[in-house]
Amino acid sequence: MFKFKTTKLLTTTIMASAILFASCSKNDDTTPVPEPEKPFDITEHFVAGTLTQATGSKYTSVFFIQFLEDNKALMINTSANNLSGTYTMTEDSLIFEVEGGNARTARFAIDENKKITGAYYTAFTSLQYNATGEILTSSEENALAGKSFKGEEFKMGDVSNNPGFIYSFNNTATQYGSGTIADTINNTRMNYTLIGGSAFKAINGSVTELGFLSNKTLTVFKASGLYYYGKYEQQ
Amino acid sequence: MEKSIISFKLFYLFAVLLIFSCSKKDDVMKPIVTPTIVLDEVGANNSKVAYPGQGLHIQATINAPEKIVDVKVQITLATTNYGWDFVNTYTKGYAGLINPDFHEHINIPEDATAGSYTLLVIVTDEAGQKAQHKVDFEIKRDPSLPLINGISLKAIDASMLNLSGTVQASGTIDRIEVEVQSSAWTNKYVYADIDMIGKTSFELNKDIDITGAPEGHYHINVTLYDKAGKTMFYQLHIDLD
Repeated sequence: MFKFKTTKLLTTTIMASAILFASCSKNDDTTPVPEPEKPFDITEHFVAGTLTQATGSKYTSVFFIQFLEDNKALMINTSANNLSGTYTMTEDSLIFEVEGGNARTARFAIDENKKITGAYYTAFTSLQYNATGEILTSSEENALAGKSFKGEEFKMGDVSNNPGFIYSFNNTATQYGSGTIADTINNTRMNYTLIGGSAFKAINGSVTELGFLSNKTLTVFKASGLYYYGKYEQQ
Repeated sequence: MEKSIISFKLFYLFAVLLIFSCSKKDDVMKPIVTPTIVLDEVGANNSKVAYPGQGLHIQATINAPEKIVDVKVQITLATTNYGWDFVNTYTKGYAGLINPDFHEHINIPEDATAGSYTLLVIVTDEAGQKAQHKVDFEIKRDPSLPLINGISLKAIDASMLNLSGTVQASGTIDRIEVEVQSSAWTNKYVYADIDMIGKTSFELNKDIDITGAPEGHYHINVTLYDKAGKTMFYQLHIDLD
């Protein structure tokens, strides 16, 4: 009887010890705990979009909006200087505003995934535009480098200028060239400033070009006396 | 009966051990100390004035109990309009340090629009904590300021630099001071040649002896003084290797 009780006591002690050790093992020793999702930060993104006048001469241009600290934002277009404004972001909207002599408003509807579902743009209180916009993630990597794109270029609106126009980006330098015959394109002809890793602005004399890459499509606006626009598929 | 009591005591002991052994050591609350940053000087002598073509001097005191990751500088127009802007995140010379002094010169382009601008500096530490300080300053155009057109710096060899350009000063030239500065080596040179002083124009072409300067990244701070007391500051950069 004594032996039985001693054995029971020993068993109880061993079981308790096992529980003690098991209970103190860290949960993350074996099961990986997923990293908490990083909250969306608009300063790590930019908007790339197009503007087409709602009336009159309907040519399409490209713009970018970079979101800075302190609710400041910069609109990048063909002007030599960027347009400094402010922005307000809510759960379902993103609004860029400029007051004063160059007043304008760009308003974007956004969904829960931070995708733009609608765009509105007005300038100087009266000029209305049909606008598009995409929120792109800023990156240090150059998504354009080494890539070529081909598509139809339009001139001053709907007039086809080149059915097979090509943009070819240098693989190592922030340079590109364009033309209609792939083998003759000099891809060091234009120097560009990389914007957010997937957009560019280039100025060479009287020529200014802005473009952005999204879903393997390059959208480009060129001001070279006349205005040119096109969407070019990655080759 | 005695064994039952022992058994109960053992369970009690294990229960206590169970509770206390599982408490994490890092549950101890540590006070959260956030970093601070204060802009001590914006512009020469904290004038809060800068000129196109000149460097904007920025000096800030950072108090960061944790090591810092970077310092972000943002300059935008104080109001909304077309104007110059500047955004850069500095890590070199600051990342991994505690309480570093922040000192930079930002080149303001010749075509920068005059007006009121807002300078914002943000320090971020390794714990992800941020602190910021904001100061407004003016970019002014002053055609009477002395300047060095086409200022150029090149390394002739490991011990000699060459500084060149065309000096123009309606108030006539007084002197040129050149500070060659790296984290490991600093030397200052003053040029007040007789053929330069009192002139309104001068072709600058100076060899700067930097014998003993170790390899590294150097800031070359050039300050041109005229007889009217006006100055123009340039910051050039060169890597010695």
